[in-house]
Amino acid sequence: MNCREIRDLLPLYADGDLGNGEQKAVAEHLALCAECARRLEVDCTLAALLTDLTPPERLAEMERSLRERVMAEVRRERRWQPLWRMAERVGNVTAWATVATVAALLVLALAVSWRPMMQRLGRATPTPGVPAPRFGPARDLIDLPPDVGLGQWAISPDGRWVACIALKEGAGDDSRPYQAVAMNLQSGQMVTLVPDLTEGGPGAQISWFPDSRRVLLLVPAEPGLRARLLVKGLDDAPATALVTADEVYGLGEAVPSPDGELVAFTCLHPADPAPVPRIGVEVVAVDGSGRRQIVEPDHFIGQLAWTPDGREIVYFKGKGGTPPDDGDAYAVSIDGGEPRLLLSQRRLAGWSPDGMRALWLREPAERNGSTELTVSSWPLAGGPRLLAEGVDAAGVAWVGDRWVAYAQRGVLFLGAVDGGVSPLRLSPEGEWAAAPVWLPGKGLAYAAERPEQRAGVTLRLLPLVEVEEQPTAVPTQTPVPTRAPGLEAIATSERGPAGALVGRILITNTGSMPVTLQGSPIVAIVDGAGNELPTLRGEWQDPNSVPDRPVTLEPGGQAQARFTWANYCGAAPPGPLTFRLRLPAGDWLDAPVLDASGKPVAELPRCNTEAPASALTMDPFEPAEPVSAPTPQSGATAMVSIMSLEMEDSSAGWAVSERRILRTADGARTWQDVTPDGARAAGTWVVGSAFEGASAWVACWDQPSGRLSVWSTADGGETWQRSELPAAGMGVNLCFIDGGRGWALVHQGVAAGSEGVTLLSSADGGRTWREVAHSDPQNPAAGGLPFGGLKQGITFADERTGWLVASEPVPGKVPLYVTRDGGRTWREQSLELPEGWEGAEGVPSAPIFFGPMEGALPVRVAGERNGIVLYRTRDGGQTWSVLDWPSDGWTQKAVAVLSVDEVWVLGEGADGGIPVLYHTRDGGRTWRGLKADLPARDARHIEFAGERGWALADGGVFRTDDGGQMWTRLDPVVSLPALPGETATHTDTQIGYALDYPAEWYIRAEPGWTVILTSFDASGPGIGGLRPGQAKVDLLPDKAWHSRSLEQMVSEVGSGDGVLWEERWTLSGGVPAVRLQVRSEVAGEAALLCVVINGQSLSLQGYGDLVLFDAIAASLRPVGDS
Amino acid sequence: MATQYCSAPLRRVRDGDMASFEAIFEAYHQRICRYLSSLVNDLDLAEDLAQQTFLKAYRALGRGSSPDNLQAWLYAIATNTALSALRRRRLVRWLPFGPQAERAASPELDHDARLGQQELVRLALGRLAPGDAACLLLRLQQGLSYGELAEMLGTSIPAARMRVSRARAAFREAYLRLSEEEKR
Repeated sequence: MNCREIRDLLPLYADGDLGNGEQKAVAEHLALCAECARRLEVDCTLAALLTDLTPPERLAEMERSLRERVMAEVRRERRWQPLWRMAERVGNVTAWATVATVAALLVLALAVSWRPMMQRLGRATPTPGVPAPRFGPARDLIDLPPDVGLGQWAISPDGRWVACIALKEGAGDDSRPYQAVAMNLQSGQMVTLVPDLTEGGPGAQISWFPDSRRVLLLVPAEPGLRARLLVKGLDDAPATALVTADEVYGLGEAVPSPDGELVAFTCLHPADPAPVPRIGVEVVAVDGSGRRQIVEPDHFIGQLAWTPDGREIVYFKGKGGTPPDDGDAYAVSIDGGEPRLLLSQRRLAGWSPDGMRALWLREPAERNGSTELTVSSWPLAGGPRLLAEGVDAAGVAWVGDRWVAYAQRGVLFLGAVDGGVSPLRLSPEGEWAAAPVWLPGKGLAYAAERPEQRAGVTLRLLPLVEVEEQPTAVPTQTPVPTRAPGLEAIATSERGPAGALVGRILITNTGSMPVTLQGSPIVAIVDGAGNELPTLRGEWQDPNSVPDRPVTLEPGGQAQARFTWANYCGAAPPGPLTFRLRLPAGDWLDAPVLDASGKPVAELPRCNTEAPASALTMDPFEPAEPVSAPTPQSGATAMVSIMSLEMEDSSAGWAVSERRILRTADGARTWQDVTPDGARAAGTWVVGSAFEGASAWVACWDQPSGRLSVWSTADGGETWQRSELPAAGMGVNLCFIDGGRGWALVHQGVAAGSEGVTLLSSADGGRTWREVAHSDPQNPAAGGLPFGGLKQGITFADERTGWLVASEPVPGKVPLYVTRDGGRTWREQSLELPEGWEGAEGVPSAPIFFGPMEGALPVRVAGERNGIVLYRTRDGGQTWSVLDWPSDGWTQKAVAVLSVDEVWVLGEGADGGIPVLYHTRDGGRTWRGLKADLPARDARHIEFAGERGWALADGGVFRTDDGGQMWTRLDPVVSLPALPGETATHTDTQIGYALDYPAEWYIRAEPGWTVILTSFDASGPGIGGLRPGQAKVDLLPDKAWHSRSLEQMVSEVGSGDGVLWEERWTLSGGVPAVRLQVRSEVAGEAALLCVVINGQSLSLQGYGDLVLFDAIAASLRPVGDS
Repeated sequence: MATQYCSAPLRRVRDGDMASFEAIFEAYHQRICRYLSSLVNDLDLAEDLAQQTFLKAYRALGRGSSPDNLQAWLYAIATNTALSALRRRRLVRWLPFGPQAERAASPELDHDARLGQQELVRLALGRLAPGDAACLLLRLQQGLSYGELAEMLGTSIPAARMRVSRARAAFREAYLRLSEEEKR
């Protein structure tokens, strides 16, 4: 054996686990090989170290909190156990249910008035031809006795009775402390079904026969599994024992047949040798006769259900894995025969009342307790279709044949089985809802647990208000005749966190008389096709007065209500959207939904699969204050590194950083970040820009998709429009002339000193683009766009004449191409470097034209010495001449050409690199020179407007106001935007910081330690990958970095690969921070904010929506003086 | 085998007996916590995983599952839960930026103890494939027998033994490499 093989065996050798032969071979080798002997020693040491691995100090604390968490969850589960039995039972209840007379008590609930109701209750949109049930507010039916879990209570199919197995009051030392009772929901009458039971709890079960007159009881007779099965009526007749304790080892569950004549049950059998009971299925008649086994005992079998025709039993059979979640649905005839596999990894959740369809639950591996709800035809034809994800196992019921109620993490939703409609939330906030039961004609009953009732479950009813009478064809146009007179409404919106649409509905009194608003409007979203989406009731509220007082609007007065609409993947309504307000008086008022720029919202809130439903929420209508400019100031700022600068005049101008588009109105002293949101996304890079007055065009490259787009604005960046370029590439040179005509030169890849390009043009200011020409390396036809050389820029002097500059590794040459037909054909008109620059290489910038005739072409030259050569033309580019600089012996660094006659040139003198600045107004005949007091080297760009000038140098912006003598550094700083929408604040008093986050986000925080913020509920089992529209922010105090400075933190992080860019921030309170954009192979682009607060190094890490991350990070601030 | 010990409380858990489940929890939670915190080297995550482990066990017992060997069964649930969480975590959690950040990301490590052997042991564990780290901890720290490991892994006892041996060899190499890095 060689060393490598020996080393694999060493641990076994150390433990004496090897066979004799191997043991000997290893020993012999060790005697000879010191290195392997050393490794053996290491193995022994490591085994000891691993065995004694000291538990972290916080382990004890963790164990304590674990006990609380586990026991609380188990107690909750215990009440809901056995969830799956209930799910299956619910299905049968609805199948048997008959429409009963509406109980007097329930009738009361129908009188739903216009009372304020801000819960998200309401009415779903009908699918064509199918009335949607409409529910009033939930009300309590009855409080269940303490410790009654699912399976120990049941509502009769007629909705009149609740039966349960519960501890007797004052049972004390009673040896049989439990009883089975039925309570009448109308009269409160209580009927004792079985007076004395030894055991209740999850071992006992109760359910109703379809006639609502008898119950089926499964009661453990003795501690353990011995059980008996009883049928008991509401009358005085004694119970019938179907199976006695002596007859069976144990019972699992029991279900009455649809006709009420038979009972199917699971029977436990002791298994030898292991104590894992095998479970079989048996059937018995309600008089106790004809008991027979129809499924042989096997691994776990449960969740029995009768098919609607009463001919078969459907059951779930586990595979006996670890844990044994895995199993399949089978069906077996009650007359016996081989069971047949229905569906893999699914269990039945109930048949529709008409028996034509079935709901199934599937629990994917690794998704603990969170199931997929699917629907299929019945009998089965084809696979089931997904209805909802993350459904609670005990929370599914048919609501009629076309609707289904289901619970997701304790919230009940109503979904359309045929799709096309967003699920609607049914249960109010503040309670955990489960086990819905559809009671035809009455409503939807469900079990609710409320935080204030620590151990109790209340049965509640969502009363059926009315059967939808609205015609299925919803008016598609604004109903002008019934439009509310004298009122106008609009809705302004923006994209909120996680893709939600947030904004406000604004109602204006346009009449000449005051208008009083009272009652509650009904607000619906109407899509472009005229279909109504989720509906809710709003209310009018005067915040300055007692509640419920109406709001009066003087002429011109306004009322507003804030809204949030989180869309759901199931809904894809076409825009534009309108909010339709149905006023209490019957009038309609339509509020078109506009975006921030006042354009109709055509693009819907993006699909957010974490949102369980399309949820519209609204605040009350309140009198509106005059609209104030939406300029949230968070106090936090970012220092921006400017890549390019373009000033229009002495005050207004544009700048581009790696990630931001900036606009200044005060000569670059302050900057406003006007970057379009779409250009901020992770993976999007600004790859080209052009500016003209208040108009700007910014080309963005979306790295993941490789797409190029151009954002354009005509109003200084207030609003942007996006267009996609019909060419792939990684960079763009943009050029626009008057009248909205523009060109985009798309860089498509470099190869050996050549570069493929495509030229696009736009005639409408950049909204649409078409290809004009492209370079063809295979077929470099004369007159085509050149392939050789790296393209440096493009300029059009007018609609027809344009110039393309490139660089080639050819000494003395300045590659220049001209088109005279708008870009279709090109002719080379290369220039030569002037005398004195022989052997140097020139890299031209895009020429600058002042009208069709006069232009300039700056060329950066590098050779034995460096500098700039400036060519000028006065004849439309037929001839070019070189402008002579005032003297020799200095190096030109940057040039500003204001006209062919007025030029500024900045350079460094030969004597130690002192900055020198020259200015001519007469085409170079006379120059004014001065020593510029510019505290920077390596200026790379200058601009001048009168006596005011700007220079980009040393990563900063410098400005002069006296013609170039005195320069001051202006650190370009932008305010970081605050979070849109409502925010919540997390404060950590141990470290002493606070930060804001969107109010609807989830937070998990530990004082003095980590904080995890998610836009989605990550409290469930583990955390999956982020989906589109989701975001996650982690705050980590770094104990190891405790004593390190910000610079140390950044350099350590920065020393790893993958830092894309960084930005210096100043948080509120003047705290410096560094924002890094990093790329990790797995998480994609992510953000990191390093900061030291109160001596503690903190890193804030963001994934997903990084625009939101920035807003959250910008809110980080020190608090207190800890 | 722990069959005799297990069967009675397990049946009672199935019947909803809280006290029996609490007894199981008390008997195993410290070991499970320690195992998970060593495996994932992140206390917050370990606590989540331990909670999931016990809830899964509770649910499974409630559904009639009655494992022959409760200890091996609980460790199997804990291991499966942790490994799938580690897989998921790779998708969203911060990736370390090299050894310094790896250290920084382990909150338990005191600055002063950075050079300690224990820390190196933790770091070396973190460099193993999660499945290997699990085998190592189950055998050496938690004292599971090769029989129990084989049951968990669904393999033969010799195969389990070889798996542990390979994991230990990988662990030793990772440790030696880290020691070298630390010396530099």
